[in-house]
Amino acid sequence: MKFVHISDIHLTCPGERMAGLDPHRRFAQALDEVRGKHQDADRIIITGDLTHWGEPDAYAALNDALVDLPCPVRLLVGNHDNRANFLSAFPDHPRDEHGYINYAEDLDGTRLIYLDTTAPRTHAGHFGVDRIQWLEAQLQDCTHARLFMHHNVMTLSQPAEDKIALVSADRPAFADLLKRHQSKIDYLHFGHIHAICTGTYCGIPFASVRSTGNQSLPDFTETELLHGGPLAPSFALIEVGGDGTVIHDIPFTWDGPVFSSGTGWDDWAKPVAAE
Amino acid sequence: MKFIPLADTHVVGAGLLYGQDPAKRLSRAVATTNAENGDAHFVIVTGGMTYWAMQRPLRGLPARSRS
Repeated sequence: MKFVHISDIHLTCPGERMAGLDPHRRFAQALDEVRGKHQDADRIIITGDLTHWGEPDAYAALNDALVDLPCPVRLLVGNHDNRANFLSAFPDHPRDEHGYINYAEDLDGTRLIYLDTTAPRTHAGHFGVDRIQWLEAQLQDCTHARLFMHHNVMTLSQPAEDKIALVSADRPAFADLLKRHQSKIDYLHFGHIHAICTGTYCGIPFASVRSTGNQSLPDFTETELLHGGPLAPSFALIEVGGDGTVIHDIPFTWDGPVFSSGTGWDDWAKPVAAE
Repeated sequence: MKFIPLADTHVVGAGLLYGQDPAKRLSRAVATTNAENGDAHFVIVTGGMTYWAMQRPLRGLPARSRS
């Protein structure tokens, strides 16, 4: 299986900029990269912050942009999104019995589980008992699972950033659920932090992806402010095979120099005039 | 435990490599590590230290001692 994992596209009403850049152009560049080089992808999964201010026109623009793609797209909401406006633009979108945009599908023996970790008017993640019960049921009757979500459900040693992780009240139950189903959960994939961060949590590997817009700068002492800048964006290409998972970082806006070399020993010999 | 992996620093003796000075880049990585992660227990350089495996560039690797 091959997944394109894109996150934090922060679409605005067309014509409006977001933090100095045009998010629609960035998103279009990412999709063009998929069309050009990843026609064999099985899913394009966009893990939230689909829009910057949750406006209907931004969701309409998202709907318009999702054309001529090689595979189905899976959409998740993030803290910048507006669930009601999202569902107005995508009225047939699946949701759970409580109205959260939690849904799942089985592909090649793996249950792909897409989570709604949002709550109104907060940037932090929420996943209370009603959502835990839904996830528990999804995990109980599958043999392999892979979780996609917007928020990081663990803290990341960054005091300011950790303030908008999954709220501390909801963390223990989520961690307990992960530990109980650790043997069948292959990976946790998320966005939100606008940076690549990888590791393990409750014995399960995790990986985040950059935003297609601006990126954050990790800060291990700052307690109040989130720092970021116009660093280059990327998305992730996730390859899942019998032996495991490989995640590639795809710098889809790069248009600078490209150096090429063979792989033989002599291809890297020191030239007479080194530069 | 906290540690910092560095890799493929590709230091050359003098001059540039693909338009960049690798030793200067490495010095910036060391300075950033010292400034922001002075509590790290160790730094591990996982190969590709030099570009052409010459003895002289190795002396260009910045050093840092920890007590």
